[in-house]
Amino acid sequence: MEYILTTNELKKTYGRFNALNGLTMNVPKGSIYGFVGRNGAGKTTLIRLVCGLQFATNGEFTLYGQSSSSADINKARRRMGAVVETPSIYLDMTAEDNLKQQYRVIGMPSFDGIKELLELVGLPNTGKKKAKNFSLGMRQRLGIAVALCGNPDFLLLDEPINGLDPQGIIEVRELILKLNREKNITVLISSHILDELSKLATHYGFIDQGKLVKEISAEDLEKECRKCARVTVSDTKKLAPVLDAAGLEYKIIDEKNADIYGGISITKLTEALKYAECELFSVNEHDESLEAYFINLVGGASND
Amino acid sequence: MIKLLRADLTRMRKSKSFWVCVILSFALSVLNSLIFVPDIRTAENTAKNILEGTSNSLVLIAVFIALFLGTDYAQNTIRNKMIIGSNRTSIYFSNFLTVSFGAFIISLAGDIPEVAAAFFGKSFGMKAEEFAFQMFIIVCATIAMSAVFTLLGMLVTAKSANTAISIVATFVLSLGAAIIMDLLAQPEYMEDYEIDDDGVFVETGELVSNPVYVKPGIKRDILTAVNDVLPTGQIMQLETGSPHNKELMPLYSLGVLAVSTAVGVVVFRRKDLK
Repeated sequence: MEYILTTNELKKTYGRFNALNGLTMNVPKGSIYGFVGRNGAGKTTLIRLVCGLQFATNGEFTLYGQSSSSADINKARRRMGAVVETPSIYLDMTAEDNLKQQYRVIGMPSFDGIKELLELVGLPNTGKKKAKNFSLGMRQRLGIAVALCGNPDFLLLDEPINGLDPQGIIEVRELILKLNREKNITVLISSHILDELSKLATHYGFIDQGKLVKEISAEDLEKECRKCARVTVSDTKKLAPVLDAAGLEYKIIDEKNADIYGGISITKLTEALKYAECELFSVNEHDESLEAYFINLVGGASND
Repeated sequence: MIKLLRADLTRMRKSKSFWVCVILSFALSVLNSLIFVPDIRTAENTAKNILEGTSNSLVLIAVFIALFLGTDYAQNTIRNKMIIGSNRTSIYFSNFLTVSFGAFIISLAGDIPEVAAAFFGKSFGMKAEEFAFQMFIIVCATIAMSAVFTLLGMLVTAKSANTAISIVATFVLSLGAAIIMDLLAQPEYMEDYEIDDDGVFVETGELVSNPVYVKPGIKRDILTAVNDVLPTGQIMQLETGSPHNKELMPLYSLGVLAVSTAVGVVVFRRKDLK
């Protein structure tokens, strides 16, 4: 598999705090790589290092095969774009002027393509409206447009949907999908909004305390997410001893609901519950969510 | 770096804060000229007036540079330059050259009304070559100050803090230069005074040694050197019409520029940005 970005035992410390603690990851070409971790896990730090905003304390990364310690790393950066945390735009300029400014920075020979870029991100008719008067969603999309100047084939987006309203979230999601599918741009998205990420990502990297705890494709993740039966009963206190006796793994959700993992015989369960004087109301097949998978992976509340 | 310079110059051309500073510099100078036009006609001090306008411009230059460089940090647009692979030294130099050019324009805007006013004067009050050389010294000092403000602007990432620091730095450097000049200008002896029966100070006719006089020696040499090296000291010396070592002043400015730029580049190259 061809990788756009690989990191090897990357470390970054701020004083005594280890923001990255030997991070090793691989971003495949053409993927939408969901970089998952709680706040402070080290997601933004990695993006800052890759973008050249900060320097690693130890370890290295390669971008398009260029090592971070080589003199040519800046050449490799010319093929990428990024929106780190907040969109980097001049608030007293129009959308078009912002793109023109970035075109000048890159050294593009003409302003051709700006109109198409604004259309691509859904900002074709903003005219003379200055960016300071844009909504958060519009600013985010303008930030992505600025990142797309120079036709990058790798895009890093740090929490791109933070603070957006539902409509804004949908717009940004569709834009990312469009960029990946139509322009074949590899995208690395850091996020802790897992539900949204699960609608986009083709690969995942789970980071915790500056280390990558798991790297997996969306396909394999789906296989690994354990299926379970969500049962609704009259009293889960009576259900628990029955499941214990049957040797089944389970999780009590509340007084009426519980998840039972592994294959179960509905007939045997019904009979056992009848003797325990517990009524069974319903049984539904239920997938373990990405959220639950992540919590299991990083240790849940004990890790806070 | 040419690409960055082109982009930065375009941004400066469209920057409101830049034009506000240019207009203010011009307006202050017009005001100054209106006040001094009668003097110019009689006192033959046109050149001195033109040179005097520079101090006003310095504060405006400090504000402009702090706002211009601070915007890149405040709106995180400096990232756009780094992400696409511009190297940090180029970013620093492009910013320095842009703001130096901006500082020159602001300074020039402050000189135009004074020069125009000079046409009303009977005499320029200074030989043209001498005036040209003194203007050259001022341009060098202004660019040296721009290098100092660039150093502050590139290393202090908080826009408002940087603006405040730059303004305070301008006043401290100007005030420092004024104090040093005052100390160096003190006479060794001064008239002795006494209070008569009516409570009025009267001269006794005797000379007593001046307690604040700086005797020739290391202390005086250091103060003289500091005043010559500081761009604000150079400007003040020209304004008061008593420049010391003026032939070396452009070299001192070059030294200030080189040191502050070298420090700025070295620190900025290793600086972690958010």
